[in-house]
Amino acid sequence: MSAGSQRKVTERPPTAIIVAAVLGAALFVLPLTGLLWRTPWSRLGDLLTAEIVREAIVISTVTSLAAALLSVVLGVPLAWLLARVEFRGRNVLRAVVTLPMVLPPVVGGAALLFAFGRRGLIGDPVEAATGFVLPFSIWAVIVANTFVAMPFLVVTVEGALRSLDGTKEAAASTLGASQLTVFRRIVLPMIGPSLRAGVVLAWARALGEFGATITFAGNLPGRTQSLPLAVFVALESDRDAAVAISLILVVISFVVLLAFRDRWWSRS
Amino acid sequence: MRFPALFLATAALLVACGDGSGRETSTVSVFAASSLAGVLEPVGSFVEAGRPVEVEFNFAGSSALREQILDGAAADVFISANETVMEDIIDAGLAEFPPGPIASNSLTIAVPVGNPGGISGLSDFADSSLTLGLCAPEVPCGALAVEVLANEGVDTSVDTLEPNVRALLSKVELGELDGALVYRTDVMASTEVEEVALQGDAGGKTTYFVAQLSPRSEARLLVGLLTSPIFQERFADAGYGAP
Repeated sequence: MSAGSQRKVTERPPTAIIVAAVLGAALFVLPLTGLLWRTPWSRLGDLLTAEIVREAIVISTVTSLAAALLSVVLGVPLAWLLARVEFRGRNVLRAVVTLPMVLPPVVGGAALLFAFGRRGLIGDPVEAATGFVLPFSIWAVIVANTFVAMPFLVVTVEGALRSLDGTKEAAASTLGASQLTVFRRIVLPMIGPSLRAGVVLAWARALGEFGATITFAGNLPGRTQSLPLAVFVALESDRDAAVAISLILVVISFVVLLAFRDRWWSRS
Repeated sequence: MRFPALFLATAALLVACGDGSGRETSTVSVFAASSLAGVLEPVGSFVEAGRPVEVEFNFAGSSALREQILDGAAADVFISANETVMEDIIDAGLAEFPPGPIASNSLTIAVPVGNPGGISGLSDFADSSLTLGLCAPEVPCGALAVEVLANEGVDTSVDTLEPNVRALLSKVELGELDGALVYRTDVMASTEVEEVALQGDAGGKTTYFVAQLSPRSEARLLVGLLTSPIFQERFADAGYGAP
């Protein structure tokens, strides 16, 4: 937090607020403590170097980064469209785009199957024409991850675009800059902090993604089994392994959020 | 304004419900392998008839249920899809009596209607051009699948290892998988898949075991009913084998 920009609270805050805040914090701190408490520290090294875990780390890294990248490439233009262009059905489109944030991911996964599955709306003709099948491939993991992650970026970036007053853009346009140049040279730098925040949010959501992935992409070690899927399967047989893999997810996410959240949020 | 009102009404309703059911009726909690969901409900109704009890089923993968029970979940009866899962319950000293077998099941090949992949037997599970699925080896149906395929000497090439048999079957029903190894009873209960029957005992055999985990008489009754001729017949009708 940049202390200078915030008003310092000098009086003692009301007890009721403190009690509620502590309870709220406990809801997050206690489960994390529970996880650390159950972590099999002595076996941790062995558990984390198992091939199945190493494969899951690679798959999770690749697919979450790919989803974050896709979210930027497709999500920024989408956010711009939603923020700056008046068209019929804009509110409906905005609702559809943000739907995956509230939808149970398993439902999202089923919907992806209905669209891109082998018997799906798009998947069926595509398989007939090219032989390409999306489900059960790493591409399916990336699509599922992007589906649940991109809304976080779109919402963040659209909010930032809406908060710009448009005078600098107007000035640049008056001086003869093309719309694309205005976007690249004026708008992008101004929404930078929000864009970065959106990317981190989208990436973090993709890293933890489970329901849509297992429904749409299946679960195969070395091909589609990401860390959350590995945790779920391990819970059935080896609790220690499940806890150890969960710990990796927690550590990675925690480090990234800790390192970037404060810096990027406060600048915007 | 409307929101708090709705919230209060809901809360009041919940409190009212709690009062009604908590006074006289007690709950008998049955943890059972999800592949038994279809046949167990009538057993529950039978126990409930004329008694101030409510039988509550918790259907899930046997291994997941075992973890819940070992973690202290209040289950009166546990029915597992194989013997291995039950051994941990015995080792933990949680069973009132030695668990007994109640039924058996075997695997078979489920294919979408019309068998688009042209699957004819277990050897097709080595064909990488087909889209195939099994249960994950961590759960009983997957452990049995590994055994069944090994017995036939099949060098397995599959596309997904689903966490439970229900998820696996639904991917066949949707036509996403050309074939999957599921329980015979699942194929019999589904109208959206066809069976490619296996020869002889190639489908292996897994035996369901029941354990009484609390000394309550309703729990004992329920365990007794499962081995009674009436319910054994129901098991047979649903496609389960003799224990």
